[in-house]
Amino acid sequence: MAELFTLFLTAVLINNIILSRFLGMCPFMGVSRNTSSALGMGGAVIFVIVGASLFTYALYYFILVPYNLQYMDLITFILVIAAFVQFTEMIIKKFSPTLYKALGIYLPLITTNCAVLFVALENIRQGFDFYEMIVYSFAVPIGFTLILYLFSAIRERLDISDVPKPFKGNAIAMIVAALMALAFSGLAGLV
Amino acid sequence: MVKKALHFALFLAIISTIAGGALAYVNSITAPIIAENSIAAEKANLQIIFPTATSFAPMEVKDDESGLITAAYTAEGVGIAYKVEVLGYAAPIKFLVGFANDGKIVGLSILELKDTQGIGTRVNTPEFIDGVVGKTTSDGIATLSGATVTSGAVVKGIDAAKAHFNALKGIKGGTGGVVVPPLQFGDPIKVFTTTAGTVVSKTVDGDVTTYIASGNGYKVVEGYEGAKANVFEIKINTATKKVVSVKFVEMNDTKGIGDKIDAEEFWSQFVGLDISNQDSSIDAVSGATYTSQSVVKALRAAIED
Amino acid sequence: MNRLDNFKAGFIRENPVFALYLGLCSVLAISTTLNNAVGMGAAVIAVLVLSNVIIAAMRKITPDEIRIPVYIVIIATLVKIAELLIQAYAAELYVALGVFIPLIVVNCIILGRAEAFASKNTILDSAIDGIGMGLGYTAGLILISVIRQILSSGVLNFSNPFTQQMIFEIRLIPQNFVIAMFSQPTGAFLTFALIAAGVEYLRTRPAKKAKEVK
Repeated sequence: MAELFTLFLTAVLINNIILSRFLGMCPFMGVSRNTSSALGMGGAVIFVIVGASLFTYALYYFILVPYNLQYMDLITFILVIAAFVQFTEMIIKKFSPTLYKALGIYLPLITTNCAVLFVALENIRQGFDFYEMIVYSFAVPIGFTLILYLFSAIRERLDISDVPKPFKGNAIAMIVAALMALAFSGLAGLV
Repeated sequence: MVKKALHFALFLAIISTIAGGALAYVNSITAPIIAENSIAAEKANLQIIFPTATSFAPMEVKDDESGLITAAYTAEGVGIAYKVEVLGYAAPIKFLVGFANDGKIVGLSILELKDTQGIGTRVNTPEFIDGVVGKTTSDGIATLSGATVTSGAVVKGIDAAKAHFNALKGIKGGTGGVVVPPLQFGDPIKVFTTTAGTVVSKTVDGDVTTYIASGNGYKVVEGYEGAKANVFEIKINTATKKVVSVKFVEMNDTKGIGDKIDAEEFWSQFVGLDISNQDSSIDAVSGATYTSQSVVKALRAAIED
Repeated sequence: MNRLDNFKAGFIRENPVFALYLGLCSVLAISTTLNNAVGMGAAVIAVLVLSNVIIAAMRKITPDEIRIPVYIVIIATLVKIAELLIQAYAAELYVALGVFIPLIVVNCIILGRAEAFASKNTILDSAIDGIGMGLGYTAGLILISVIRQILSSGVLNFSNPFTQQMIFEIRLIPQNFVIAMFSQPTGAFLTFALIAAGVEYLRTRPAKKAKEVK
């Protein structure tokens, strides 16, 4: 139990997927204009990563390994993820058209979000058992959502402040990320 | 509409099959090289253990209850080697132990050892290794007296590898476990030439008198501060003038050395010892001479009482 | 636009890293040493060019509705082949790049170029576009890596990935003055931010000048 909690804490704060592993950057730059769409995006990513992890985990251990097809992992995983994102898109369109509109092009872009494929691959690479896989699959996107939310709050202020011209937009976002990474690296002593 | 969907599915299927085929081909070429790379680090050591083997491959270790086995390698047609890591006296010890397919231990290669020089490091000498190589996976292996922590850990590790090997090959009957080495005896100590110790108490029960007596051991003789003499319980049959039994009450000498004498083989020397014979003697335990002498001192004190 | 223009665009005007902000994940994570940058860059160029060529070759027969899954299968296969080859022949590079080799699959650059260019142009044009974009990516990656490596370790070195032989090693900053932060995420973000700002300045300056002259 304690190890699962440590796994969770490490994945959310210490090895944060954005600030420490640099994955999931594209939506980080694009969506984080206001806090509500950041939360919506985060929720969608949590759903996709947990779902995709479950499917890819089962696929790997019930089909690929028994038939000695481990080298097909990359192709099958990415196809499963693509299919699952399509599925998520349909659900969001049906249940929350406003969120669908707000997320716009970034919803299908979750497919190419490094974070999703990363979690699917890590579940296998780290040899997680079922419970560790579940905890990790929740922890990573929760960490992602946390940073996305914090960043969107900062971004709202940035947009109305006097940023030097060359830095406007993506460069200043990177500087903010640098400062956040510095702050979060102090949490490394937690575990 | 259906025709289109079918067309799409077929197209995707064909693409995927071609892709899968290309991947399978590349995989077949690279897989052996990758396996080769993963054992490259160990290869030199493996070759020493299995000189006749030509190819090695990593082996997946499942069901290792001990948790001590870190890797395993098969030497094709010859045997299996296990990489084991145990906690020694001061630091982890890593070693490779190789079993031939028939269960014989063919090699022990210590990879990492940081224990005490001259004591723990004895496991990396023929003294220990000769007692391992040549045994089978069902024989017990003796620890080294005087290096019990280090050698005990290594034997435990070898045992774990044996257990896994036996389970794999279906060899029943256990691994033999850890064997305590037989007591080594040194020079004889004559009872009546030793200085006497002190009798602490005495109880008479018919023919048998029970003495609690002390004898100066290693620490007292060497002048250690606060050293105390060893205390023994000695039973003498005053009618037959023979010793009934001797045993420890208090062992105040060095742990691991002085208590070596606390073994059946040593005490049994006293049983039936004729105290009227001026030449009576018992053999000291080699490596624990002072403590052995302290027993005799206590005995002398009891006799002269 | 003609081929040379397109090739040059991949380098500066439409540099995938600093202008289009694609493929950032790998850029920030890998850019700790020159070796990693060259290794990753080579892998990306190879996959990008091959995928562009294959997709361009198939552009007339690929049904439009399923083009994205088809591109994904092709790219994933190429990446996996690259991964297996690196794992077998350049084991140290494999350990250094780790999970970022398979993550080339989701490198936006590759899918982006497949969709934006290769699906609509000839094989030759697509190949050149792939080389241009790939070199632009690699150039950006090398730039960040060199800065980070020098600032965080003081040394710039390069070794042959297949034989691990050191080809050159120069110490540029004494050990006592290195700023370790640059090997950390913070340093990565910071370096990128400063270079991105610099590139942005260079890109918008000629337009400003033109405006002022008017």
